[in-house]
Amino acid sequence: MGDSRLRVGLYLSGTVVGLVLLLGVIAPFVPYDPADAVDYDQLLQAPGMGHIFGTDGQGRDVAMRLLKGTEAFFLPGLMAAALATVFGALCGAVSGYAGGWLRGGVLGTMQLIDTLPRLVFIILVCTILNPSIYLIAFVAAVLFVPSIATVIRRRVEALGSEDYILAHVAHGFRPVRILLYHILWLQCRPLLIRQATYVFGYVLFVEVALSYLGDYGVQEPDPSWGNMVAQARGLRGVSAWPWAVPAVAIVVTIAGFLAFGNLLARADEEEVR
Amino acid sequence: MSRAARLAIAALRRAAGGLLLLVGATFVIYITIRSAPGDAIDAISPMGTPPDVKARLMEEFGLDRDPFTGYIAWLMRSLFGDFGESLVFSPGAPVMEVVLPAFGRTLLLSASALVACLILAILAALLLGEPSRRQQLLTGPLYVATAAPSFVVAVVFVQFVNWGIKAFLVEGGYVPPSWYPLEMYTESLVPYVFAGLTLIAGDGLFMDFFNSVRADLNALRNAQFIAAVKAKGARTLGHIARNMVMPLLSGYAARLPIVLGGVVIVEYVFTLDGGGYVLLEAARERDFPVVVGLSVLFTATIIAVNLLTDIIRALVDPREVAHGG
Amino acid sequence: MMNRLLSSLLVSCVVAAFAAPADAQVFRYPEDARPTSLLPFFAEDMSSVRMVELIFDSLVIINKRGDLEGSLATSWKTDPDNMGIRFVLREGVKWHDGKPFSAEDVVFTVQAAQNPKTVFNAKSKFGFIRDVSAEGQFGVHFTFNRPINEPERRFLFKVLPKHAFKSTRISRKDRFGRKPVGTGPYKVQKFGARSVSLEVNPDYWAPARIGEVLMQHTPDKSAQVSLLQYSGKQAGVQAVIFLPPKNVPIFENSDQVVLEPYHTVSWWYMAFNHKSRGLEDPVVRDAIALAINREELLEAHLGRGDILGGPFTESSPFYNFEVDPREQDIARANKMLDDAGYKKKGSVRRKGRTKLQFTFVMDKELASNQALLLGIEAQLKKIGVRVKAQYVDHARYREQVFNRNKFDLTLNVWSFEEVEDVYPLFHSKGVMNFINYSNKEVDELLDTAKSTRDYKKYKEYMKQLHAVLNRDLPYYFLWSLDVYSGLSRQLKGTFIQPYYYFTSFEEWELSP
Repeated sequence: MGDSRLRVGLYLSGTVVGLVLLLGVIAPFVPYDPADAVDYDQLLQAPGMGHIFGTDGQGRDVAMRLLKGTEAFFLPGLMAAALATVFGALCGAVSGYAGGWLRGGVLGTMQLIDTLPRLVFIILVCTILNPSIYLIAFVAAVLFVPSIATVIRRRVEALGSEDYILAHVAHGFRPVRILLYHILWLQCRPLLIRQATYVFGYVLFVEVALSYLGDYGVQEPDPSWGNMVAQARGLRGVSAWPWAVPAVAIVVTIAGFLAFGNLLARADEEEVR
Repeated sequence: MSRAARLAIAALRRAAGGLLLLVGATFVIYITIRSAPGDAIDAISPMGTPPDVKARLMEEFGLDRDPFTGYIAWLMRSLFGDFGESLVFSPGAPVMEVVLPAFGRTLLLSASALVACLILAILAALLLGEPSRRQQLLTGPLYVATAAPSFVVAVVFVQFVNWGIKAFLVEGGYVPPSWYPLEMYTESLVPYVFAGLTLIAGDGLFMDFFNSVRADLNALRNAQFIAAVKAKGARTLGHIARNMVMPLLSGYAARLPIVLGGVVIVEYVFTLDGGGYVLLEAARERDFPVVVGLSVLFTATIIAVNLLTDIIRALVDPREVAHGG
Repeated sequence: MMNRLLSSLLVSCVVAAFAAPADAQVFRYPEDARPTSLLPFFAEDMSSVRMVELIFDSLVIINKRGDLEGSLATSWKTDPDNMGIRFVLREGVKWHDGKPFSAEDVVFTVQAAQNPKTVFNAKSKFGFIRDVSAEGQFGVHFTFNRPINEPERRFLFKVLPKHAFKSTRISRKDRFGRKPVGTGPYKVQKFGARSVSLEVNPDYWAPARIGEVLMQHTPDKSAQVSLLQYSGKQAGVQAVIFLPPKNVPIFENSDQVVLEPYHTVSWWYMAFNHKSRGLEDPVVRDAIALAINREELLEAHLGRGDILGGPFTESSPFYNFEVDPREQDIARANKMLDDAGYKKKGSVRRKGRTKLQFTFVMDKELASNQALLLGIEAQLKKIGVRVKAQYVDHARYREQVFNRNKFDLTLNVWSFEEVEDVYPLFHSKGVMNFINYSNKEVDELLDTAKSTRDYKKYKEYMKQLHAVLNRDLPYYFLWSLDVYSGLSRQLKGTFIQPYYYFTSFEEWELSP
């Protein structure tokens, strides 16, 4: 891929990511009361002045709900991404670097978690415990630890036998420092970025999917992109705005995060070299 | 030792590992479910049921044991194929009797979607060949399209069919639009077709397959050994195919959990009575044995496919045996 | 042209291979929930109750005119002292599996219901029977615990086949619940995951006209309405049990669908948890009631109905019309709270450590639950009472609200089979008193009413109770709904039985 195209992609996806981050940061400070938002005089308005994305079947402003809907996945997504990356990296590094029962134990646990069907398991947990988006994010993070750990472990195994790491060992660096700084930070950074954005995208996906299913995610009247899309069923083709806008937002956001992670990682890789 | 013997031993070891994993996974699932604060008894017993009656119901449903002993008992019985009885979804029916037919439909749907997707991807890759400059311009929008979750695709499909072409697609049924000229006898199949299409288009399944097939094809076309084969006058296609099997297989195996997750939601949107429907419904009713049984099937499928992939990989590529195990 | 014709012919030939045999005589209807059990004892949800009506028979039924009519019994005679009754049974009746029906089955049903190890909701309905005995093959005699007027009205329970059970201890898990054997006009053909299909019982003494019945689980109400609009097509349905009120107007002048009222004795209420801090104070309950505009909520979200002042519907003999239901009066509500010392701090009123902020638990399966709660929330805000909404699924609702009483406010519906018995709801020892309500006056009224044998006096006590409950507000009684079913015009001879729905279904006809 050409350098210029990489940059264009990075800018484009970066804009999406930046925008979502911005919305996610300001959303909690925008006052919104779902009870007050209902306006029966303004049902299903087309986009126009006052309502840039129109209104939904209860007269609520779609743009406003889109903005407040970011709350549903923003913090949980960041939390899950951080959790999964940290634990994934640690597990990966430990299983790649250490030996014996520690390695075996970590590998076994990882393999066990990895065999659980993700969405099915999340639905299961949500039925059992009181569903909350933080719970979903936590479970998603746990479920993603193995895939991150595997990627990191392969890298660490490959690096472990390379000369310059051996040289560090010979110079008497502490193994923890070698592992955390020289291997994880310097060598695996691109991988970690890619995985972190992927987890964030997945949490968004799970949140919208579960909210769409109705019983598990964010509950109406609180807005979530997923329960906004779910309105499609009741609208009977009268207006597409209330569900099409969040649907596009979902697709663009997930794509933006995945692309940003990929491209950033690629750019970083080139720099590392 | 002969290669066949080594292969067999490796396969057996993998199978044993898979079984161990399955046991571990069922433990996680069983304990998770039994840790629920309220259980099936509260969900089905009428208000004001006296405690002694509740205790009797608990006993009747086998919920009086603590989760660990309960799990051991469950495991022992399920080793002999007895996964318990449904509590609410279909009271008294053996779990597998309830769950297997539904899961079979789910499996059939996902498998046919995967196969169709692969065929489509190969055809598209062969037709399009190496990406031209003009195609490269399309990469961006296509990339965005791959990120569409399957349920978004499903919603778009349903809305398009019901309000775009004015047909009627809902609740597992289909009515062709009034302008449709032909007599139609296959209405009941249409929702499945749409569900399959959704699985193909959703979660980036098709684009992933397409991209990997195309990349493999291009790499192979340019690879040196092909030139060597060509020089020998052999047919190239067979070699290409064999060398494409492995990455594709891994892709398949890695994809399966995602497709099995997506199919739950797709079944919900198109209201098909597969495993996803039974899972959501049984979970809503707190029918623990059914939920556990179904989760075990989902997990077992994933483990079995991984196992199969490993074995096929070992058969195709002799080096794998040395690494494996 | 020729080409197109040919190709269409070809296509039809190919697809004809998949064709299912077209049968016009299938009656399809959707239900919101799957029937939990077709074993009559455990048929506790309405979807099971309706289906059981098609499969089983009782000794007597209530006919279209509201009179009692023999079904499995052809005649009956009450003992002179009202302490017993003797039924003569219909001869030649066969169970769906071909075995003959006899008095032994009736005896078995009562014994099974009375077996302490058979646990089910409506067990108390069999409590009045002290003894039952078969008299020959087609006679059965019951004796009661106490004298009962018009005892035959109590024999609406469904009769089970003795030969299908091992003992009188019947478990909820019995396979019979999915493969029932009855004497009714229809037998179960297939109990699927999402659908149940029934076929007509040709041996029935008054065979039904419609050949097949198919119930399909369709949780989405708007989908049910769409299916009804396609009633003539293969995927369509011929009836929707409860039309959502906002969709009733669609069918008001329809040439495809008729609207039929479906009467159930049921009313809506908002319950206060009397152990919640703040809600134990009658002033607060009164103010909350005054803040709510029931007419507005009812019209906006549920359609037509009657606003109620007490725990009975207006058609009930116990309804006290002298009690005026409250009208919304925000100013008065605010003044009452001010006078009682609840002062506004910010948007919420407080008095000492009591803060008028409550958790409102809502069952997600309740119709219009969200819209109702949003409306109530907005109205209560005006008197400085805040609610925190908590929407939970049905299973969790039962567990949290009914069994563990963890809620401050909730909204729900009670449905009664025939006449409202509110003793279990409001007596401090009532088994369904999930609101921790305890009022001496109410307890006394209920106890005296229960022990009285004079129906007139009983009625008077109930009317008094109505007045007391309207004043003291254990619940805020909301409304009863006019409920409509949508029936396809292809159907002829339809009559919807109150509550049971399908009692006279064998007279329904379906023209293609």
